[in-house]
Amino acid sequence: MSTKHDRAGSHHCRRMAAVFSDYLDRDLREAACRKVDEHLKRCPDCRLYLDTLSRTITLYRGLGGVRVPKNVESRLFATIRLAAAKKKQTKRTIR
Amino acid sequence: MNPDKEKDLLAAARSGDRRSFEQLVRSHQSHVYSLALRMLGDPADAEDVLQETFIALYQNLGRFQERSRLSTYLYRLAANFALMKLRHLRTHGGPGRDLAAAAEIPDLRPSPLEHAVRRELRDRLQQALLRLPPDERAVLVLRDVEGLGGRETAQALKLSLPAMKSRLHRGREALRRMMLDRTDPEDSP
Ligand SMILES: [Zn+2]
Repeated sequence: MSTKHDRAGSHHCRRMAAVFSDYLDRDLREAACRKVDEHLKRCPDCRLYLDTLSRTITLYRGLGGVRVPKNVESRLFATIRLAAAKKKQTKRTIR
Repeated sequence: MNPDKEKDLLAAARSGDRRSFEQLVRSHQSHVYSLALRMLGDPADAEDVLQETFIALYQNLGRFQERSRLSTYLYRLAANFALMKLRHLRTHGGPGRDLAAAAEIPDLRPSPLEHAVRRELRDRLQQALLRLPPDERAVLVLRDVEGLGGRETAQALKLSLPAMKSRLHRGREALRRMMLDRTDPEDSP
């Protein structure tokens, strides 16, 4: 399935598409940023492209973190205690 | 955790105080686990990475210099262990393992009303992530999911800023396509 949105990725706008990610991160110098703004004003394809890119990023930002399940946490702490005990033991044997 | 408190805990942990170390673990474990789970898609694999990361920290406490933040250092360790695991799985686990496992990702922040919809969306987002090449996936997870800054992401993955950005662009573009194109998941390049 090819959509209108994908046109920005092809040919005349490809160089624009390459800076959209920086544009969304507000990571462009002022001049470059203005160039993108200008282009967006007259290019509906790129506006759509940018919109879909920005929505995608927003979705991933919203994915958020995962909490460590209780049982996983207790196994982690058990492992750490084991490592700690080993460390002490090796110190003792070295002495 | 504020930086001074973290410094104190690190110092105490270095001198052998296990409780201080455990406090550090508690405050960072969910970031490490999230990164691993998003990267690997499998809770058991993510748990391995979680353990490897904190054991590595424990064993390198003396060597950890506070030039970088502890969180960045932990992200670096975790990303390395996750990438190593992916390499190992690719040679020993066979293809498709990631995808099959993705369905097992537990939904740990339920929001009662939109639960089903959100869960389906999360699964789709996670599945798309797992289809990215691992090096792009690592950048995506740190930058967009975990919300690190550009510099910190580059630092954690030991990449130059331009290299990090180009992976980020490629990864976002691939995800964008997958989000648009949900009918034919095998078609995208
Ligand atoms: Zn355009």
